[in-house]
Amino acid sequence: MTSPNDQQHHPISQIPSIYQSIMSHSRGNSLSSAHYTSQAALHHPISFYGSSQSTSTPAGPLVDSSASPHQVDMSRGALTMRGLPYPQPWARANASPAELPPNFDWLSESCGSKAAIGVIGGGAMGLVMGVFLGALTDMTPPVTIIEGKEVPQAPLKEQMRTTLRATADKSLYWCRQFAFITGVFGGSECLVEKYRGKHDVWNSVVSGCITGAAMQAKQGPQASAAGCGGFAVFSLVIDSFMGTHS
Amino acid sequence: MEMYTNLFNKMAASCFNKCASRKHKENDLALGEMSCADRCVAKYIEAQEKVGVILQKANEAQMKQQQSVADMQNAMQNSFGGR
Repeated sequence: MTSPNDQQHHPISQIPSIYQSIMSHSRGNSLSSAHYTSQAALHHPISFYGSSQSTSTPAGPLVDSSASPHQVDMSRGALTMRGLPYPQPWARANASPAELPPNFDWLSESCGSKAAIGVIGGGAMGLVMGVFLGALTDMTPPVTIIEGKEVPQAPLKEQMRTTLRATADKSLYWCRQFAFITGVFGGSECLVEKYRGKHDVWNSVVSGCITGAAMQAKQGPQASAAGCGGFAVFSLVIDSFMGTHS
Repeated sequence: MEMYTNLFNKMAASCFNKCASRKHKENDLALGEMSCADRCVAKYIEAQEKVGVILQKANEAQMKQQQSVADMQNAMQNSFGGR
């Protein structure tokens, strides 16, 4: 099918069919699929014009592709496999700091991040809840009957405006409350767990007590104590049902 | 090298027994377990260093004693030989 004259002008005709490549014994013991290089596996454009480029492995030092040569075998114009690179997660221990990917563990493991995420998530949930609660309960004005006579209703546009304002106020209120609760709970649970060094349900109980006390802090120590007890019991119940995740 | 292997193995076993819970609900160490492991490793290595210092002093004292015994034996042999 191919002739030596065709190699420069028609490189595509160099590609044998799969049948041909399997059945041909021109390479001796090696199968033609053994020449599939890692460069070809990355789906980069392959030049069919016989120029063999020397490429270094693009993956980096944590990936071992020593099985494949650095020379990409383009001469045949066929996709052949010589060895795929495989990742070596254990090589992180020996890699110099320049080779490692940037470490973002502090973002997820620090207590400040947990508190911030709690504030944002709690705020979003509070907004949603406030919209639902506000929209459902603020549609009728508070006073409809004075001295037996019905108060005339305002035009529709005014009614909508007041409803929207009341809903916005309520959703902001819920947003603040939920953001505070979730942020304080998350941050204090992280701090308590780090201090204790254990992973069980009592971390949530203590942080629930702290959150409840913080919620009622403006109303005196007795309200704080009551809030502490109530929220601690609540979080104990919830975490006993949900299992000790943290 | 053998000392370091031994140290690592014993430290890993003892800190795991102290810090990690047996109920493997997730694949990562929890936050509390991580801080416990940090403290356990720090304490273990500090204890190892202190014990190493004391052991070295004891070794030196023993060597000195052996040396002084050997010196006395040499001196007695010399005095006998010189007679």
